[in-house]
Amino acid sequence: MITIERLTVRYGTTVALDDVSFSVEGPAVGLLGPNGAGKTTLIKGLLGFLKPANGTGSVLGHNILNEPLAVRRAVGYLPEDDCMIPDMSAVRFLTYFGELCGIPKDDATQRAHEILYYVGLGEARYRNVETFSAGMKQRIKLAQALIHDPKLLLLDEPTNGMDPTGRDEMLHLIRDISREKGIGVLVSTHLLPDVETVCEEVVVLNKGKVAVHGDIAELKGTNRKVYEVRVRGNKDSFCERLVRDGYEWKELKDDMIKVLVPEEEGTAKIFRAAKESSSQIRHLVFEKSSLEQVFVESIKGGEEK
Amino acid sequence: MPVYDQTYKRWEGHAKSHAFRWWVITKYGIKTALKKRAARVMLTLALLPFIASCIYIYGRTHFGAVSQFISQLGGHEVLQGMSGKSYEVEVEGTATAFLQRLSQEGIAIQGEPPRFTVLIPDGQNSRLIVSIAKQTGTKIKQIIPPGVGRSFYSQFLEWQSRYLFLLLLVVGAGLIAKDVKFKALQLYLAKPITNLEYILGKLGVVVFFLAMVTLVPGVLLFLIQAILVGDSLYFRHFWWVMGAIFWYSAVIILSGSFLILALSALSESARSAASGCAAVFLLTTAIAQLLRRSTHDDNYMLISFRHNWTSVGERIFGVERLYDLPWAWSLVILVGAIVVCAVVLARRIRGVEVVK
Repeated sequence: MITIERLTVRYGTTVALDDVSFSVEGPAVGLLGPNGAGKTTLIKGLLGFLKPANGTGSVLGHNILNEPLAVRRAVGYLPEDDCMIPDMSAVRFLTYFGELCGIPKDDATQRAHEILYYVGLGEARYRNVETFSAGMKQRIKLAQALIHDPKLLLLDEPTNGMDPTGRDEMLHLIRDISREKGIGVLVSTHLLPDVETVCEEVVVLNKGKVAVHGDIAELKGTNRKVYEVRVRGNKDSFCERLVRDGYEWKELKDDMIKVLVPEEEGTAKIFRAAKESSSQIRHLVFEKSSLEQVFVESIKGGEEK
Repeated sequence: MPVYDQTYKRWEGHAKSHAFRWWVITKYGIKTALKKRAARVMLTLALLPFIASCIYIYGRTHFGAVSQFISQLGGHEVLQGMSGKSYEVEVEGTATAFLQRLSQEGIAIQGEPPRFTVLIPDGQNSRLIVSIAKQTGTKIKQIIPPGVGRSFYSQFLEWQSRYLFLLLLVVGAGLIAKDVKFKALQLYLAKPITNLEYILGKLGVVVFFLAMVTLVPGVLLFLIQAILVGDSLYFRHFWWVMGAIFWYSAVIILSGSFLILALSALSESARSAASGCAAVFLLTTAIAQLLRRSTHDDNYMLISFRHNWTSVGERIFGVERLYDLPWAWSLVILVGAIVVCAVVLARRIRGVEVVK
């Protein structure tokens, strides 16, 4: 779906993307990162809005440097900002952008009506877009991204400014688009639950670099249970025995360690390792792994470097 | 039950060719501008000089009728002879036989050989004069058909340029400024159109309105005159006027359009862009006049954007010059302004706002 190779983008002396490389297949990919991580820059680079200082990439097989028009033909873009054309009804707004994509006027008008119903703006079709609420503006932006029937959607903060209900509906729409309609989706956001709801794959950006990239289920470790353990006694020996039993562990703060246990197993081997290493277990808590942990850890990792 | 199936459908049609993608922007821009009352009023007002010119042309092509009307000013006699077209004829020698035959044919003559004016009755044209000349063995050096000449069209377009200026402010000022203000540029440029197509689309809107008050009425006046004269000699004699109308209109339309679009791209407010445009036109002229009067040097008029138009127009139509200005410099300044505006547009029209 998207392949990026050693992409570097600079704004003057500021490096916005630093030697970024990854390849994602979709159908739904999350682009996570704190503010200023380079998410929007990456999307604008994919659209050919920015000239990279170095590197290249491709979107659906089209080179982002040499074939920007082919990329834009295949891609729909929902920008982060509130964008609109004033004095235009929602239908006219969509028809206009449909025509700009080369769709004949009659087809564009018909699609405008269909898509407005699809995104939940059917009743507001003839209202001027500047009178829309924040949530409706997000929906109309999604609608214009869909008007030319793209193969991939680049969504930059799609739930920005939406109330909880609207946000759920928007995420439901995005999930439906990626799973039922066969349209790939790249969701750029700083909201982890959005990515968890919609995506199967995630790329975490931090300070213009890829901090983590992978399948969300694998990153979360959902095929394993996680326990927070604190032992008193011979901690090294305890950890050695855990490894011998095929368990992974990670050091946490305050003498705590995180132990990853296969889904089908319980805590028996942890207690046995403690017994064999003559240690006492003083703390054992089952912890539900979340993407937030992965995110926080990857960001921390980036900062420590 | 909803009219539409409320689900997303794939589009299986074929996209139109890329060649006229810019026209979508132009078409929408024209429709939007026509919704503005000010634009409609401007276009209507710009029609008045056109109508007045049509009446004037009718009078000039029927020269005899007008001259009699002016001399007699009243009575039934006015209606007599209110027809006919005057041709200027230049012959070799005294051509006595030729003049006699013209009189016998009831053709009025004003002036004396070798150059004089003849009044041909309606329904006849230059062929009658040529045939009489052949019969009397007279050699005609030239026949100038009736009609208004270069200075008329030059003055007409000069007058229309006032409407052009006002239309620039009303139609052009907000064209890109609104897209900048409402951050719509990234929506446009995320679609399969190039920056150039976007600029062309916006340019098309301004060019349409400016052409409606300059090029279109100018060409129409020329054609109306040709029809009123009813003589192919007219085209042969005045063909170049059509070219002059086209080129002068092109110079003022293009320089005006690029200027307003560049100013519009530099601002988020249509009002600021309009103020900038007004400053370029009025302020540069005021400064130029001030310097010219205090130094008695006409070259200072090159500062004035407006007078550079006039200077190039005077050259194109070959009329008497108002100021002793090197017209080539005026043209260079206008072309330079277009280039600078094009560079501004190329730099400002982009899908990403870079804050350094």
